[in-house]
Amino acid sequence: MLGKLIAYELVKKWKSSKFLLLGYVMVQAVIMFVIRVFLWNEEISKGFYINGGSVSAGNNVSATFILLTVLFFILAFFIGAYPFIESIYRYERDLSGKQAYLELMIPAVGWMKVLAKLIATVVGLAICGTLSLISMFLFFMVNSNFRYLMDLVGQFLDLMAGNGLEVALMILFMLFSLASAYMIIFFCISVAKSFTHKNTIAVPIGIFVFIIFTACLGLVSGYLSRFPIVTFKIGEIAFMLSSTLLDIAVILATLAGTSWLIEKKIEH
Amino acid sequence: MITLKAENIIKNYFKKSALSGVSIQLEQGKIVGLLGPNGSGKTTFLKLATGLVRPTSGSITVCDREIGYRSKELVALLPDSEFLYDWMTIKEARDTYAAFFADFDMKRFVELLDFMKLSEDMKVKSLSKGMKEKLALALTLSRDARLIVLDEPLNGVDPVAREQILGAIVRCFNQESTILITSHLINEVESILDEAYFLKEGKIVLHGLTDVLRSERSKSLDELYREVFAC
Repeated sequence: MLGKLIAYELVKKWKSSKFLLLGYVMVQAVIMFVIRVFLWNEEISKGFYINGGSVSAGNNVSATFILLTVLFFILAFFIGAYPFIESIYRYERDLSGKQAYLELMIPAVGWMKVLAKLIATVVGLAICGTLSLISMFLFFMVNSNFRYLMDLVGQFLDLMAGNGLEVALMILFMLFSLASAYMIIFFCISVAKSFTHKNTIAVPIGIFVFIIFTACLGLVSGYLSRFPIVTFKIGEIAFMLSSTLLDIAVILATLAGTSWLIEKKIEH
Repeated sequence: MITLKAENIIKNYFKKSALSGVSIQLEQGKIVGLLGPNGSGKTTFLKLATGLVRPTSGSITVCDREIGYRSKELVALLPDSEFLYDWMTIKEARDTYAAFFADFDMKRFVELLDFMKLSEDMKVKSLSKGMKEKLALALTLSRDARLIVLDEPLNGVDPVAREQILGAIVRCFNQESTILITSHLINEVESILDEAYFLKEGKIVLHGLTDVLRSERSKSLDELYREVFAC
């Protein structure tokens, strides 16, 4: 059932976001094309040269070029942040929108539904984040010293290959941190929705619960930092076992709490 | 066999009482009407039976299962509002139901679609209100659920579509299941009901087998409805 729920959540995300993603790719491609074909000159090229390049002040850099470049990076930032907003909106709608009938009538235990949403959210964030990074990288590839950048990429890939385990652990840690943050947000929305579906009341309750929750978590984290149990390193980052255990406890507790709220408290 | 057993159900929304002491028992193999005007508590009761809301007090079981995610395996719900995503095609809606409900009968769904004159490549977004209602009903009735709950299935649809919907309900009904149906259109549903509960201001004010009610009072169900609710 968990597999079906994850597939369903991913399809929902794709169906609701596909035109936005395709539109994004097209607009960014057009911007890059316009910049490269119509607005390009050697001065700009030097400006984007990595490893020592600079633009001479005011020389042959058109306002259109600056506008398009700013637009490009704003869009890249937006697409990276989009899943964050979309996931919160989608979760809220799943609990109280018109499709909630379908969601809530699925005969699956609460934690599976929540976990499926969480996994789909993290996958969405990873895809959009990667898309954002790739588009920014492509921008530099097109507008900069291509060969030098390729060398940098080669060096980076070599570094990754040489530290495979550390890189994998770092990626896992990042995904875990994202999942943990989302789980706290889902929990706060669920607490709010267990009081009411009216957003004028539910939103302030959710924000209030989030502030209290994160404040308490900050206090506990601060306290635990005095009792690390064991300290270990992944790459260059040091971790404390006590904090890691707290992170795991938080994600499990919020998952269990959200599941309980969906099964026992939230009404439609 | 008892499909649904609700005992002394009280449901309050803060200080407002939606249901006060409702007891309903539904037997297998019957089509039962829950009749009452707007705000009488019909939809609240259906939501309680399907586990979408919880009673303030009292108990409900479906085939002896407490209401919860396990009881959802036994209950098929047709809500009174649209619940499918606009991006879905009918085929995708079918696949969603087939994935999540083990009792979904694909063959029956195809037959029902044919009966309703819908095709699988249609998009939910492009369907009229009546067509959406028919699609939702086809999905609901394609489940071999023990309890089928239909909330106002005739609301907002034209007379021809109403006939098709009622035809589909009768066509798909089997003696293993129970159908609980609410409607304002008593005249339309009267012919298919075996039993009726009249709900007024959160209380059952009249209940009986429809044949018995009609013969005892020498009135049609519609006339009884008008009498009870003083239209």
